[in-house]
Parts: sequence; C-alpha cells; structure tokens
Amino acid sequence: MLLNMILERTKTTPGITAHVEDGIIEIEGEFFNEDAVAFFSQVVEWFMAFTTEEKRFLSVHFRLTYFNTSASKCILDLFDRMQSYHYTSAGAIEVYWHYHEDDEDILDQGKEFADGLDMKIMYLPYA
Amino acid sequence: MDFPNLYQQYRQMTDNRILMSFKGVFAQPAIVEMATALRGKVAARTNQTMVMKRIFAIFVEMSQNILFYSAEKEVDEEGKESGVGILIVSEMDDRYCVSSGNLMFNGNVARIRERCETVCSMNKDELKVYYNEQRRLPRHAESKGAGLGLIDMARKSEFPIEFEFLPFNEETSFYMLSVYISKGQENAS
Repeated sequence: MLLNMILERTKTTPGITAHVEDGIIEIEGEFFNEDAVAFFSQVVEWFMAFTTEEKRFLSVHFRLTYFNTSASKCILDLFDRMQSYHYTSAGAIEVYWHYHEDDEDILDQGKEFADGLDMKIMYLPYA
Repeated sequence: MDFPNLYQQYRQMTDNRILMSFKGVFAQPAIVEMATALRGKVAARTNQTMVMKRIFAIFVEMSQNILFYSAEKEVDEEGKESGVGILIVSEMDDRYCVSSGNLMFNGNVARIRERCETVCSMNKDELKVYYNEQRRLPRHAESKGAGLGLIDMARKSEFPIEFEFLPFNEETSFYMLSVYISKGQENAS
C-alpha cells in the first residue's frame, strides 16, 4: 500500500509532502543539491505508484524559489509524466505553479515547462 | 611567506572589488556555504531580488561545473571526488561579474569552445529554443549535470558571455568563463 511521503526541506533540497488520501503533492523550497536525479526519483516513484495503484484525482503544487539546471531536467520529466496521466485519465490531475509576485524568472520557467504540453497549469502569484 | 606578494594580492582584490574569491576543491558542502554567503553579500548591496537570484544561480551553475567537469580532481577522506578550480565574484560600476576557471583536457576544448561560441552568437529567443531542445536530450550516463548550465547562464545575463582557453600543460588547458549581471536601475547610486 502506498504511504504518505514527507521529506523535510533542507538547505539544498525542497520539502516534499505527498499525501495519498488527499491526493496531493507539494514541492516547496529550492534545489541546488549535486544529485538532482537521486532526489527527484523519489518524487517520480511516488507519483508513478499513486497513478498506477490509486488512480485518483491528484493535485500537484510547485512552490519553488530556485532550482539548478540539472533539477530543471528532472522537473521536465515530471511534467511529461503528469501530461501522460492527464491523457490517460482525462482531467484527473491539476498542476499549480506558485511563484513570488516579483519573481519573473520562476514564472517564466514554469511557463516553459508547460510549453508544448497539452495540459492546463495554474500560475498563482504569492506576496 | 612572500609578504609583498600577499600584500599585492590583497591590494589587487580590494581594488578589483572582489566580493568572493575561492581557489580550491569545489565539494558540494563548500559550494552550499559559499553560495549562501554570497546571497547574503549581494542582498546587502542591492534591493533587487532578481539581481541577487541571478548571481546566485550563476554561482551555483559555475561551481557545479567545476565540481563535475574540472580535469583536476581531489578525493576526500570518504573517497568522494570533486573538481578543483577558481571562482571570483566582483562588482563593477554597472554590473556584477562572476568568473570561473578550471582545467580541461585538451581533447574536450574544441567541443566546449564550439558550445561557447554557439551560445555567444544567440539572442534571447534563440537561447530559449536551444535550452529547451537541449533539455529534452537524454542525460549522459556518466554525468550528473544536465549540460544546460552555459545556456542558462547566458539567458540570465544581459551581456554576452566571455570565454577563453589557455594552454596549461601537455594534457590540459585552462578554461575561463565570465558572466555579467546588470545592476539595473540602481546604476545611479
């Protein structure tokens, strides 16, 4: 059975809250650890387990303030997987990209992940 | 110790308005400490968050380039290997400069030089397309990086990147890279 996954935020990795019953993943903080693949594979693993075992509605919240280029590749991979889930289970996923209202770079980066994907992303500024 | 030389170095670094300078092993814990300190230093100088964030981002990409790709490596007591190089952050009247230098095997120089030239020749829109193309390529099996750092740095900068390769010894060259971040509206102060 799939369990909740809580990873505390560290200096170089974002906090992760993945809640089975609520069907929610939150990724909050910044990433500049040296091994993006190792870190994000935990999220991908949980996502794949949820979408194959639970097959329910899932909302994904990104609230990132910085991530390096290596992490950016991992996040793109996650977007691709979310897109696949969106296709196979029609609308069973919602993606929220939170950005600080003054941070145009993070907003642009969020939009670039969505470029070429046929999935609606909600961009939400916070103060 | 050659005190006149030490004095000269200190004098030069002061005159060149060096905010941070490090030559040595770019192990991840050291990168974290330096990046965090740099963020504080820049934040104390500017109220423009984007300037601070871009300098931070460039510092991280350059540091991790040295960590992963420098031809000169050191192994710590736990057997972990990290690259050696130099990184300097300095302040100019209208901009900040982040520069890195590290050894590179001569066999890689042509490929990296070509990449630098490509990035240099592109405008912002072209860089965006190039970045997104490169991000879709599979990761090299032996690499922890994504090969995107240079493009990302160029996208964050308002100025062309600068680069140069100098022969170091029979096997290696010294690869230098500078990226500038404009101070923006604070210029007047």
